[in-house]
Amino acid sequence: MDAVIVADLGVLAYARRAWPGLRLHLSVQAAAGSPEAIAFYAREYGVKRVVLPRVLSVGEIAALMREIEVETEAFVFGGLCVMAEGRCALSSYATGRSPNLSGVCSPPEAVTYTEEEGGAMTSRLAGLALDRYAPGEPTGYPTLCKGRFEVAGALSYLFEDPVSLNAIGLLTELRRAGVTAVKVEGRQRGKAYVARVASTFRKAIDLLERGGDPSALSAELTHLAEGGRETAGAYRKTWR
Amino acid sequence: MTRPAIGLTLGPLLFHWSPARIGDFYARVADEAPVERVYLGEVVCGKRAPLVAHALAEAAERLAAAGKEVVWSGLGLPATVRDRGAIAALAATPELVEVNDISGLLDRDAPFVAGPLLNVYNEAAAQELADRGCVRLCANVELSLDAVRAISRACPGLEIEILAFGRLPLALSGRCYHARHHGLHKDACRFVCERDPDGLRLSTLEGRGFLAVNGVQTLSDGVQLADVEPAVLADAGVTALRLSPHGTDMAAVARAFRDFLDGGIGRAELRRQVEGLGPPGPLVNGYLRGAAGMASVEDRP
Repeated sequence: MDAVIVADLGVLAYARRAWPGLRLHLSVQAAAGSPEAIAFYAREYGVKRVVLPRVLSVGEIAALMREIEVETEAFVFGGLCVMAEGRCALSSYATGRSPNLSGVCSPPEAVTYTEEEGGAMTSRLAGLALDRYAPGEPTGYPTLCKGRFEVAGALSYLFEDPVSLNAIGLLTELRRAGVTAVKVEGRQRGKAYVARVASTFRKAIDLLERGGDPSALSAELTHLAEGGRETAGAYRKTWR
Repeated sequence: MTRPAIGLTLGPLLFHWSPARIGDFYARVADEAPVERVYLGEVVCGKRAPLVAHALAEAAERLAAAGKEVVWSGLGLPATVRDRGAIAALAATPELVEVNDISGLLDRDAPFVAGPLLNVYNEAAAQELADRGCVRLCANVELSLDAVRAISRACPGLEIEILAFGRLPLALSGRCYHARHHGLHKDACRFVCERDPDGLRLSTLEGRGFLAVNGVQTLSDGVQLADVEPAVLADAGVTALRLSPHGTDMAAVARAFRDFLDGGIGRAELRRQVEGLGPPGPLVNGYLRGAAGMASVEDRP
């Protein structure tokens, strides 16, 4: 075993006490997004690497790296959490299960699709109508923060469009910012998906090491994104 | 063994109110609300902090003069160098403060309150914080009363508050949804969140109220009501109920809860009285029963 990835303060304290030689990585669920939070975990529990929240831009990551002394890992493919990870309870509010409580978000057992009059399809989570699709239109998975909502009479994807994260085009910048490793989301995903995504990123990183441009490989991943639509998320500064 | 009565506290104001409204609100709390303790401070958005600092400082004096204990609460998600400085400054004060982001513990030597925005989900995490000086935990809203009981049994002496009234703080983001709704950028937001003193309701495609937007924070549309028998609360180790400020008559909410905790009224009457005060959304209580937060669950007799 090379390392253990931990989010919980109780587990961190136990690991530090009982297994002082164990290499600890800090999960994104610990919500350590500032130099002070990272310094706390590094100093108190000897954390060697921190997984960064998906709400930071590349510029913010670069600035952060100048103020911390541990390695960082950044998500590059999969769900795009628009809320600070580890600080989001939308899923349990609707379904009773959430990342912090149960390691899942918008869990599949709460998902239903209902056909409306005229053939439109409504995607639901815990009975809540999160999106609606015209007859024949491909339907998406009802992730709470990617739902279409009504606010003051206007319908919109207020939190985020139903897109997924693909930062393969930003590998060069992430490396320049000092990120040690990149991470693809495997939870609530199939084996074939994970294999395809991981091997594409492996190729991209190898290409980068040889001085090539990995963004050309982006097309290989497009059909794996939710609804076929992707974004570089917060890594691009235009997002906030 | 007799236990001390369960206390009532007022949590930090989560919404962006004008200084005048803040002044009026806390003057009324000082004079009329039967709460022993009031948490003050901007915990949601650092951009608001300078606009309300003076009003909150005056409120602190007013509340202290009325015999209320005042505890300053820190930001939940520092986003800028200034936010980080505010958290460090709070951590450096010797008085009891409420920490809502783990960065607030980096240089904290004095006792502290662990706020509901910190991730404490089990007794080991609570004990770790207690070992670091945590004297009181306001439970994360996702925790069931059973989880609270497990924490309290494992951490004797740790005071525990639970959120008893108010929209539930569910998420924080680097992005401002009030600004996004108005077609604005967070950096030039014009403080549009000020227009919605209880947050901006977000409904499903079928018109069912679901969430409420409050700047970078997302709350529930449903309003938590901890309608749990006082004996059950005491058994779970709850030492105080926390009421979250809303436009609802908070002095009346506090009086209803005080009456309920003192045995003057039962659960049904508490619910009837609070509903009569016009809370901003439907009453919910699912989290405390280990169910979905938006559920409204009846306890078995």
